[in-house]
Amino acid sequence: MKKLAFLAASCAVVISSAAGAFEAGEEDLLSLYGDEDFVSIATGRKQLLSKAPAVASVITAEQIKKIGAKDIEQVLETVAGLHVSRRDSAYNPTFLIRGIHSDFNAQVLILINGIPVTNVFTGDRSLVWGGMPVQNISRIEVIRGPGSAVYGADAFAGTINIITKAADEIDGLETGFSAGSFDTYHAWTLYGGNVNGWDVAFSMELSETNGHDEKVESDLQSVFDGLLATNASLAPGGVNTGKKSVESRLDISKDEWRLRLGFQGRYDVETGSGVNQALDFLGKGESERFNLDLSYHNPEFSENWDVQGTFSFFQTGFKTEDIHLLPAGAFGGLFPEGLIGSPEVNERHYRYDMSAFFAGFENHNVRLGTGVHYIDQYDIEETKNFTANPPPLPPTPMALTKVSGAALFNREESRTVKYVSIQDEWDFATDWSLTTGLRYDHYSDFGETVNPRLALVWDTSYNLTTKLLYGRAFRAPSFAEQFNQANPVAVGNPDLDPEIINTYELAFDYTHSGDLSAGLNLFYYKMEDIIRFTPVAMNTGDQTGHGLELEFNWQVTPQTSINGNYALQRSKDEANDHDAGHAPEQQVYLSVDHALPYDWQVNTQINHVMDRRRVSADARKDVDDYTTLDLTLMRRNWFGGFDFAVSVYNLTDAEVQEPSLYDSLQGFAPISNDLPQAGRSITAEIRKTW
Amino acid sequence: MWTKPDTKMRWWSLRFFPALCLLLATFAVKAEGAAVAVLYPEVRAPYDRIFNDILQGIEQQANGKVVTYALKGEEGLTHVKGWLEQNDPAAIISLGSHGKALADNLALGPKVVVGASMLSDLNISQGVLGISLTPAPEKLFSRLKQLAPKVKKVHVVYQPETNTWLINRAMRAAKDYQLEVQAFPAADVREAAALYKKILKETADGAQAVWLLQGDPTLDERSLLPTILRNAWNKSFVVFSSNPSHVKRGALFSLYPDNVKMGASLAKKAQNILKGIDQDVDPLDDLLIAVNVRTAEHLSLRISRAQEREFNLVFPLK
Repeated sequence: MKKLAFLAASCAVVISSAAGAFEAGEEDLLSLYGDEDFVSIATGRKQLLSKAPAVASVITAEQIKKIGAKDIEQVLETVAGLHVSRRDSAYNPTFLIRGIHSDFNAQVLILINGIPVTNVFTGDRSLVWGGMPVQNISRIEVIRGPGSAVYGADAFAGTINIITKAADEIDGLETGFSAGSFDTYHAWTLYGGNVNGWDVAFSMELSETNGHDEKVESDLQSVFDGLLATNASLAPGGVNTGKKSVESRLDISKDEWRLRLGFQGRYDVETGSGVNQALDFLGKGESERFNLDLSYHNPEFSENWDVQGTFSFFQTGFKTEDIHLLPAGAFGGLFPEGLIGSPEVNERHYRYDMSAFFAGFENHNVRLGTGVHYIDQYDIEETKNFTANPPPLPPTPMALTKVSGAALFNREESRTVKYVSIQDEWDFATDWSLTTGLRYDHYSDFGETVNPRLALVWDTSYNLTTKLLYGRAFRAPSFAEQFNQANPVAVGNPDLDPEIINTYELAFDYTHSGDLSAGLNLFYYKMEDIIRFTPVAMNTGDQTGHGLELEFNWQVTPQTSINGNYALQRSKDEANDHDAGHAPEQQVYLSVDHALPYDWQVNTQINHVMDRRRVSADARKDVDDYTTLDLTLMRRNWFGGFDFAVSVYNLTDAEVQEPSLYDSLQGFAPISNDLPQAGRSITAEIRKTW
Repeated sequence: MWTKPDTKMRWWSLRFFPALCLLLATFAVKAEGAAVAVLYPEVRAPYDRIFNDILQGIEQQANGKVVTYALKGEEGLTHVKGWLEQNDPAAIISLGSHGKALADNLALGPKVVVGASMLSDLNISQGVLGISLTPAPEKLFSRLKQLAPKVKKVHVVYQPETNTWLINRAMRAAKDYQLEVQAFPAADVREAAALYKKILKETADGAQAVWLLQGDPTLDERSLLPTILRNAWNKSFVVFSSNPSHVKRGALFSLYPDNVKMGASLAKKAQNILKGIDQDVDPLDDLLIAVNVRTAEHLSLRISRAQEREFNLVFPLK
């Protein structure tokens, strides 16, 4: 806490040293538009109300720029009740919302422009996700709590909707380049304009990094080395976090029609602390994700009807090569080249969704929705040099072979989903409204699920709005959980039911004189039918949780704003009455933004992560708390209209660890000293709008 | 099928990106020689977007070339004069608060059109020409009747030295909308506070409204505004404003500048002044609307989806 106090004090010094008026003589405009956020809104695009009352946070492009974020991970860490942790394999981010953790993080739904980027294989965004750059992002909406009544499957712990920039949000042609620690380079071009009557937005972002190489002390092979008196492990050794990325989007619209194309290519993605929790500097993965979304939206379809239809196609897949599940010399020399298993999975998703708003009943707004989704998992391949045996038997060696049939880790499968939904927002008395929603989903594999949503909103007073919310959500079993094979420690089960969560929330939104707003959310949830590999995947175990999130946003002066949040949660594994583990029980975030004379701007953010407990059987001591301090200094419109920025992340070089997994089947944590994260790093950036 | 792209081909653009930037810069040099010169203050982002939009509107409307000059702080007039002599424009549009001072100090006669600034009776008496940032009263009244048709009486407090011209125009326009405007002159914030206290005491139903003037020196935004808005909520009367940030705080609606269209109107006004057919200060006609739907619902005002779609800004934002 002393460290936190010190950081807060340094923050205050930055603010006080930056005092001073500017823009003298432009009081008329300042009084008209007020603070910066407001001018961004008032000179930007029309904002839409969220689809249903919920506990939500919105982060705009301007805020993303101010904090110097380069990836959505950095943006999402600023959201109350959300902590970005990491899994061992490829150091993929896991977005922990309100204490809900699982290895693949399938309980969080991520959408890009309202379309899921979920991979059905593991229920996450891809085993080779490789991050997502932010330059073409207009805003990110984060809804904590259940959203299945609107979004369907996996809107469970929360929903993250990433909205990309439309033509009118890009001033012509923008180009930029940044370079930083770990040989990180990023270049981008955005274009927005009108071409022959069509609104066109185009973006291309290229990036590459060698990534940090913080050291892992011991890994799974270290455990085997201890048992077999060998010395094959690469630990202690640095993690491998390098990757290359291409991100490109095209958004064309005219009248009611809009076509969006997107491509995410991730190449030479390294293995983090190893796919099998054993360091591997040889393995690489790549993933490509392509989407085509064609939508028709006619808000004046008829007097009372607002109609929207979307067809979307999403192709996603990853492949890997030279994945060393264990290094050379594993199992006492039984595998002189190492235990090699390099998988590949491809998927096609077709979606047709239709929704309509009806406003023909007095005091009611009704939303109807229906759709069909078809998901096809195809072209599963694997190259490996072993046949797995049940523990404690070692795998049986074989020549490196491209296997097929029952020897593969999974199989070609498909799933069809059909749904209907209805939602009614009823203003039943002055200052009171009740939103009732219900969605029925039919899955070709596990059957039916019905998920309701209730929201009672009371405009309590001029300053205060009170919301009482209830929602039920589900997570569909992944194909890994249903159809895994040839792997004795993770066996698929086609008879799984979805995971279920019931959440109750009480939320207060308070505004004081326009310059200060605050929110307090209290929540309680109960998860049921949690899917775990035992080693056969089973619906087993319940988890409950409760907590609160406190957020504020204060425009101290036209030049200075402060926002921050505090989150507290307690989550319990009901099977053993023990903390559910992994996620921080407390988190504090503070960001101070200050505009200085001559277009200089400085942002300081502090993030304090506390109280990360272990799961029941894991006897290791709790994960150490940490505090990071980031600083971004920006100068706009310099040397002929260029914008410059320098960001230092983790300025104090704090030691940051994310918890490594505990293997409950084998009774130990393969990476005993957790997953080390990047120390201090710096990035410099230049951009220009032509 | 997956094919591994050629790494060399894929990354060349990253290595040469800075060079590409410089190359593009050479195409971005603006041409010289002008029919209209625009002076505008150099302000930091995101405020600069306001002036960029206005400049875009001017360029769309102006016949011939437009040259621009970004004023840095309290820049000496000599430099500006020299720049104007060099470009010899037919008309000058001066934006922002400095614009008024420049129009005076440059002594360039009727060629200067002032925009993006509040214009007062004092400015008018000094012969300043232009378009004020203040929304035209008739546009405000039209929206008021559309959103809250029951309103019959509008109360407004104003400083005579600043807004008499606007109030006179409002009085004339009110009749067309079956409205009665009760205008209270106030010399300062203290006098205005007493007047608002009286108005708030007497205003107690949906047939009355309070109009908050943007930029009027008598409106204390820190202490008075929250009191007015809280009273409006408790007594269910309408507050509308010429300032969109008041809507965020709880006023029912506000009209605010459509900057691109305002730029076009300024260019048109400059053309008309040159032709000698326009010698006035006008309030702003190019307007967008911000509405607080929470306040509307509290006032039991029915807003149709068609109406909501027309709104440019809707509060609360989520």
